[in-house]
Amino acid sequence: MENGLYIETNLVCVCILLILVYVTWRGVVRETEQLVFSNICFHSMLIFIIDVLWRICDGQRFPLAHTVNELLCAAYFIQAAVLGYYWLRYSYFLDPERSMGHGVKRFSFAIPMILLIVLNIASIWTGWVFYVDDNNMYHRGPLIYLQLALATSYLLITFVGAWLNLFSKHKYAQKSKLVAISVLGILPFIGGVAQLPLAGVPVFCVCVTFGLLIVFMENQHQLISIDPLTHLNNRNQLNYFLDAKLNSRNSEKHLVLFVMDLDYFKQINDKYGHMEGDRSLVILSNVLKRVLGPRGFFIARIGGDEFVTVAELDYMAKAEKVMALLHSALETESEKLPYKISLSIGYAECLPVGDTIPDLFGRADKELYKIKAQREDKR
Amino acid sequence: MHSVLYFELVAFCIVVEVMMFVKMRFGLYRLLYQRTFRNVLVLSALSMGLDYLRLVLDGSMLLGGMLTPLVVTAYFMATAAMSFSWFRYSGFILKFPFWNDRKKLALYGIPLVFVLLLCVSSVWNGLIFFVDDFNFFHRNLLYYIIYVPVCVLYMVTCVALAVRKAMRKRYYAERETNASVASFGVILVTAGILQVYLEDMLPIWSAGIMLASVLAFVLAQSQLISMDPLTRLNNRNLLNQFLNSKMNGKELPKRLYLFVMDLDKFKSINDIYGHSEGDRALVLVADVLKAVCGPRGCFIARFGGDEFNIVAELDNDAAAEALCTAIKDALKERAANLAYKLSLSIGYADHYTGAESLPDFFARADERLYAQKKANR
Repeated sequence: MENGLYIETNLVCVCILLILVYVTWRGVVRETEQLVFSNICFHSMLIFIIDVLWRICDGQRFPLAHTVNELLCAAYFIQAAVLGYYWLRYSYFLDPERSMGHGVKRFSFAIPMILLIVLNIASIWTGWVFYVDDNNMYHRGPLIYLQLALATSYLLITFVGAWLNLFSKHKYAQKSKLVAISVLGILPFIGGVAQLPLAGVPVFCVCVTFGLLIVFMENQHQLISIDPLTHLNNRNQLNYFLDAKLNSRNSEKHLVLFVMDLDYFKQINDKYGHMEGDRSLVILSNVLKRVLGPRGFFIARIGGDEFVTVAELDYMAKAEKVMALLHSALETESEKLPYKISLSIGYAECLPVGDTIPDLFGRADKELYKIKAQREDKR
Repeated sequence: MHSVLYFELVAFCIVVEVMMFVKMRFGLYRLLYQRTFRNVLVLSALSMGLDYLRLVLDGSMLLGGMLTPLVVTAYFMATAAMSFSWFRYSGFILKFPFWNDRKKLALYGIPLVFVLLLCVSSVWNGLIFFVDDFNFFHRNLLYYIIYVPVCVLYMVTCVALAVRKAMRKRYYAERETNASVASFGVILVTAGILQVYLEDMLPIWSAGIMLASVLAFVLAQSQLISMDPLTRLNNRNLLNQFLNSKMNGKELPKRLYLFVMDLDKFKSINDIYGHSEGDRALVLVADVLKAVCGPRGCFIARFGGDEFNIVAELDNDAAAEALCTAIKDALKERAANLAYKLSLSIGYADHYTGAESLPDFFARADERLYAQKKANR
């Protein structure tokens, strides 16, 4: 029955990964990221299935049993190395600011994997990493620790890389993704190391599956909370963020909500078409990201041409300063375009106690209309 | 060794379940989901945990043998309650109104209450299960003829509701949820039967619940990706995917029409009455589109802002014109008692050549829309 349990655990993991691959493939966004992700799932499923077959064959007697067992052993260890390599590649892929480089540098990442492939194939004759005895039972060879060290080094690099990155950034939308990447490294690492003293207990497959599940959910979460056109946070995420901020206020800072509206967006749309209208939104959002992002503002597009920013400021005069910066940045940007991109901005400060999201929005909206009315008067 | 492996698998299932629960509790889903799925997750985790305890305690004399019947009762009750909460959750995602209707829920809950009472009474009368002198637990006759059928009934109803819903294909975005409801019903029933058949040697039940809830969670997530949160129409991603699949596919029996529409003077509604009123207007338009175009099998999407799109397979331009008129009339009727005037401008194009690209197709429909807008002024 132990075998049954071992096999069931592996199969459950395969089923979970199948679900993830299925949803990824049926999904709306079929980009490279999805391809790379299903690639990893595929490699993980392969190692689980090899593991199951190996478990079934180990210690059994049937024609060619010895050879089959050796081959499965080698395949398992090789696949473990390949998986580690893909894992590292995926972590690089997820983080656009890092790159594996090209040519020699890229190749150097693959060296441990290639070494392990050679070692394991040789082990069939030399018994370095493993050997199979006359009763067709598998035993660890002297070099098993080298196998473990090299295969897990990939995972360790994944983890450390993501973790270092986490401390050097302060973007809200990115944070949880980086945590997910680091989890992606540490869970299989723990699993791989724990597998050594716990031979016969399927730790590795459970850890790998769990890691992939976390990353998958995080990816989906990103898709839900991000506006596909401008890659800013969307309305859902804004509500969630404001909720969290209102419930845990930093009393030394002023929490300010800015409501912004692109002027003459309708005219741009009507005159130059929807494609150009979309482009103007993207240009605007890039300016917002460039000006407000480094200052730690939360930026969201809540629909159409409406944008919202939430900031914690040291003193209120800073709000006017930031707005002036924004206006001048937009003016320089507009020089390259046939039409003018400008913003009307209204803002409101959150009251120390008892303020709600609709109230805050209402006050900022009122401010915005006042400014709009003034502008209309000027014309 | 056996118990270590068994424990690991059950613990893995419970951890995954708890992880999803945490994601729902503290994540974005708090705003979008009802408590129903969280109930499912909690009860599933409970059912798995008690299932494990029940096997560990089988035949033990802990606390003078008192613990075994208690745990077994709790396990049976949690499992029955879980199947009911799955049923309720299915109602919620399939949008059957009973999930939130106290009276109907009370009615549908009668078998559950009956079974729960039977479980409790089994401690004394042993109708569903009994514990023998060596403190081993056994299933009794009523387990097979009442307990299992009631639990299975809820699951089978879920599947039936999902299949019924899937027959009436209205919204492309919902096809996956229907499939998920059907498949999690099937997974759970199969897992339950296998578990009893294998006489509890493998924790198949826990694994089944876990897989079913992962499937449900993941599909619900992907549904959120393809749905516009305000109007609950398909969003832009899905529109592109749908159009691509239609345009690259084989010859269609009818002609493919793309409608582009735009709310007239939406900007001024927003400016004069505020954004929340603007949102209300958008929801109203979405409802009208659902009512008019849904039964005709059209694909409806909100492209963003005040732009909506419809994709329809129609015979000729006359049918397209008829659809436009139907939409405008329905909107006029619904918007009659609003403080402001609500009307749509609609442009359309038909896809007469297979070689045209998606942006060109859009541009042609857009052109018609602007021509109409100009004419309106």
